[in-house]
Amino acid sequence: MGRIRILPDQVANKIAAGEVVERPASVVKELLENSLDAGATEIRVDVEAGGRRLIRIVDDGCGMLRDDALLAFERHATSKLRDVKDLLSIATLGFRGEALPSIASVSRLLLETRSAEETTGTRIEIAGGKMLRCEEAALGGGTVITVRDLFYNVPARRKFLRTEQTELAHVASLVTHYSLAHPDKTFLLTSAASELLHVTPVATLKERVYQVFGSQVLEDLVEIGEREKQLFIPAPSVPPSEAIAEYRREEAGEQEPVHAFRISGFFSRPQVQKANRNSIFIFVNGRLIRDRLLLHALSSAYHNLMPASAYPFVLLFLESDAEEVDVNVHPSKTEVRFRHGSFVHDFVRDTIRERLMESRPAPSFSPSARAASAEQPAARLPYSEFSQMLENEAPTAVSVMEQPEAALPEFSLRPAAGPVPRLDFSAPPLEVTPGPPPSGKLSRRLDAHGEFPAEAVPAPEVSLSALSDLRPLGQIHESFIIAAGRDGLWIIDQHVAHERILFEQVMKQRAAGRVETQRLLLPLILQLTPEQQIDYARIADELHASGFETEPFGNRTIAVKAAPAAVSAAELDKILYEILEVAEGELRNASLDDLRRGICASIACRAAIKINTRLDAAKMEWLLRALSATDCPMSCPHGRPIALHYSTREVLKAFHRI
Amino acid sequence: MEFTVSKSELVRELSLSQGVVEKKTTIPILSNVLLEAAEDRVTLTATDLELGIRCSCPARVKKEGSGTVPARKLLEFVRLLPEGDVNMKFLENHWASITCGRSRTRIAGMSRESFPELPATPESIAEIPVKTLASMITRTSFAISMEESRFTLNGALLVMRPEGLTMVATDGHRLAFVQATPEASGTVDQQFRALVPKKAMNELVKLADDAGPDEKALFSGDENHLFFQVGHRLLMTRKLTGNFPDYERVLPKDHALSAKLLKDEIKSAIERVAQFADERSHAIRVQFLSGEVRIFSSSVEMGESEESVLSEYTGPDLEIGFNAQYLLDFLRAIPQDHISFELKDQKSAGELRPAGEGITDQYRYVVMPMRI
Repeated sequence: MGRIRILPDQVANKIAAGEVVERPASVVKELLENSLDAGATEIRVDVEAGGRRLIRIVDDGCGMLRDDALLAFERHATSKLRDVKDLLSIATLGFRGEALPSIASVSRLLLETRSAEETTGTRIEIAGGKMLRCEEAALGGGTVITVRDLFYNVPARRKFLRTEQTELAHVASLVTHYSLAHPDKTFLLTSAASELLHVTPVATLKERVYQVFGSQVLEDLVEIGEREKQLFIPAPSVPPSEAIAEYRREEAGEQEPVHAFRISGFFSRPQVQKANRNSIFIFVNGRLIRDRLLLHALSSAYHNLMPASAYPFVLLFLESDAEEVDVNVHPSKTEVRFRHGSFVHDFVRDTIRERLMESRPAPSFSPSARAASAEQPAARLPYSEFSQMLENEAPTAVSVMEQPEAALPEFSLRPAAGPVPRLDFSAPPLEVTPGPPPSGKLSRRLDAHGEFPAEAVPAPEVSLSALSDLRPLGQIHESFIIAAGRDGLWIIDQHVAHERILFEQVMKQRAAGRVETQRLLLPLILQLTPEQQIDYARIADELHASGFETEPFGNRTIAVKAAPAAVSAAELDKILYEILEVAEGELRNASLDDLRRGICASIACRAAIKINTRLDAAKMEWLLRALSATDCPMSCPHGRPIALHYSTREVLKAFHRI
Repeated sequence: MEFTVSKSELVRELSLSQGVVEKKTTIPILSNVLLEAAEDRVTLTATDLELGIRCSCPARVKKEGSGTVPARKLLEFVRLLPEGDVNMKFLENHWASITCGRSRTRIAGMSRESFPELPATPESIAEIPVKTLASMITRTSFAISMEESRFTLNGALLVMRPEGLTMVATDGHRLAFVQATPEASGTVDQQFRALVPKKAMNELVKLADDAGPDEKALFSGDENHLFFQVGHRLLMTRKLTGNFPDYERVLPKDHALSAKLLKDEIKSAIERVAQFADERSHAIRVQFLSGEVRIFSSSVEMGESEESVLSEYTGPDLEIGFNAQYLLDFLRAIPQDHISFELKDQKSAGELRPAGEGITDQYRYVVMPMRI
């Protein structure tokens, strides 16, 4: 008898479950995606014990016919795909036909569904992959799937589950993400009896962001707006793999091989710095993914605006023709492949960078003051395991913190959200923000936060372009310039401001190949470690082009004969070691462009005026003017902010004049 | 302690201490001046622990003793007093009472015990005419590095040899070297080398300004300090430690090319042209052509400028970049009317020297070129 056998479906389903159903959040993801694919407008998710005891998803989608409902639990049964051609252009979130049988094989599952075409609904009960019951039932439209006792028959998997809080946090962040991707739908997430997320349909993404994260976060965000870019594929010779796509295109009467990519969403101002990537949400065609290519595009957009170890808050929606994206990479569908990866990368990077430059957002004071906390509890749920541990030890910490905040009078320099009498004597009058246009769909119910308040839209955008007409008043601690502007008070860090000015100058000179170098009286001899020696060999050409004339000088020693004119001889050894350090650290794998920026940043930093330096009025004025002329006056090449703004409004507010 | 002293003499000596007392009051006692009355003189001492000055003036001492008062306040007040005698008396609580004419004042002082003890002056090594010393300092100190990180360049090297006194200063881009003859600077049997901090050099120039034309500085040093006694005034400073660069390697041995220039002409030309040089690098291009020297500058934002001066130059055409500030520093430091600008090629150091008659000491200024 042969040794090789075909596995029974039961076993195959359990194996598939190992890939797809990792934890309660994966169940929620699969079911939520099914609901969305079914065209639901209202989705309710209930979980108990972090999803171990119960996960219930209720939607008002199209539902299933009786026969379909039975078939759905067969392996590779799906309504979303017909033949192999469809795989090239997957427009639905799911397509594998594996989720339901996989989930059913590791839990006790109850499916209740009714399609609009049938008068009665269907109730199916399955446990551990075995169908227990299938009966007619009186049900409303839509589908309810109840998953109880997840992994009850897979003890090994159950052991790997984290604490309830952690699992709950995963579920919460998942539902939050999908709610962001679908602002036109209602999402409700409850755990036990408490409501973690409840958002009602809104017309724009901005309103949804406000609903989920509150006004505080929204103020720190910049909207990308809709950006579109066309990709032209000139190659007329069609490789075989594209033949089908080509055929489809011809069928549609579309001769020109053009693909449009669209980006929309939000990104944070550079001063918002997160310690990890958990605040970066990328959606490709409505699907939440973690993609290294796009993450890299984002971090290079923020390069020189933010320290290397910090990450922005980003909510990015990338839309493209379905053919441009391959989602069939991994069963969990969190990865995608782009057919034109580098185009997508550059498009994302350039768009965000452009918007960062255009908006020149200025940081303002009191980032910590939580004005009228309006965010959803789900957005607050900490994501990291570490904070979860803390949370578990002191489960009431959150509620304890919350209570006094509401009770105590608020001491904050920031105007509280909510209607404020509009009284302002600054030159540009506040714009009246028209309310969101009434949406045609559904009657807009009043949600928990009331209407989207006009205040949450930052009135006249405070932009660093205003720097040019600032009047310097003086210095504090001979380190920070205080300046009066049209709208309030500014504090500018003189060192980083000068650093930014020099950085752009140095970059320009470098680009033009007009680097001024000063020869040294005596060559500076530097000792290198073996590692540095290797890095030196790698960057020697770039060093030379940047104005450092160096040459090897015996074993692990280099001689520096000339340096950029801006660098004083006394600082030379420090700056070179710094560059080598940068080269050996984060930039080892990075491009030449990044290395060049690193070198320029080091030169600028060393050449810039230091803090604790007295400046006369003319110098300060020059500095402000030069700063306003830079491309990017909001943060220094290492990512620190340059200017703080304290608006007239905040001053008035602090003095109780408004 | 009680003594009476002439107002003008007290003001003059107190003024000398002002450059030494600490400006940032990190240690309060260091902003005080120590007054000591003994026999028929009152001695004033100030220090910031790096640098110390001790001077004295004649006084009628009624009761010997000592005390400290804030140096700046004392000078500001005494300066306003009418000409004549000032009587000073220290009270029990370290306060000093000052009486002059109809003015009666008491200044809060501090205990004398907390004032740092200054090192004793060792036997002198050499006698250097102060005017020579001052002129050597003014021709080198501008080349001292302003940066604090490269410690050894924060001062000038002072070498006393049988062949006379040598002073060298550099910041890594340029180097100023002066060597005086034994007749002008005095001589020693054994070579003595030390690094003098820039601040001490500035104070020495002040002492020299106030001294007579033939006065000499008694120069001495111990392991950590240098001492310059000028008349009844003593300046002491901590030495800088570390290795001074090997300046002899830097001084060019020979130059192929030389341009003779009128100092005022070239100086004004560079001053004008440098207005359009880059604000940080001060880079200008200097073109040596047969019979003339041309200077250029250009900046993308501001504009450009060009000027030419006549010169005795016969070598091949040569263009070299320089930091205008470095050239001007030299041109502003010398009294002579002519200079010679010596060169080799685009990458080698240029050397400037005063030219003309009546030059007894050797002054060489080496500037490294720029690539523009």
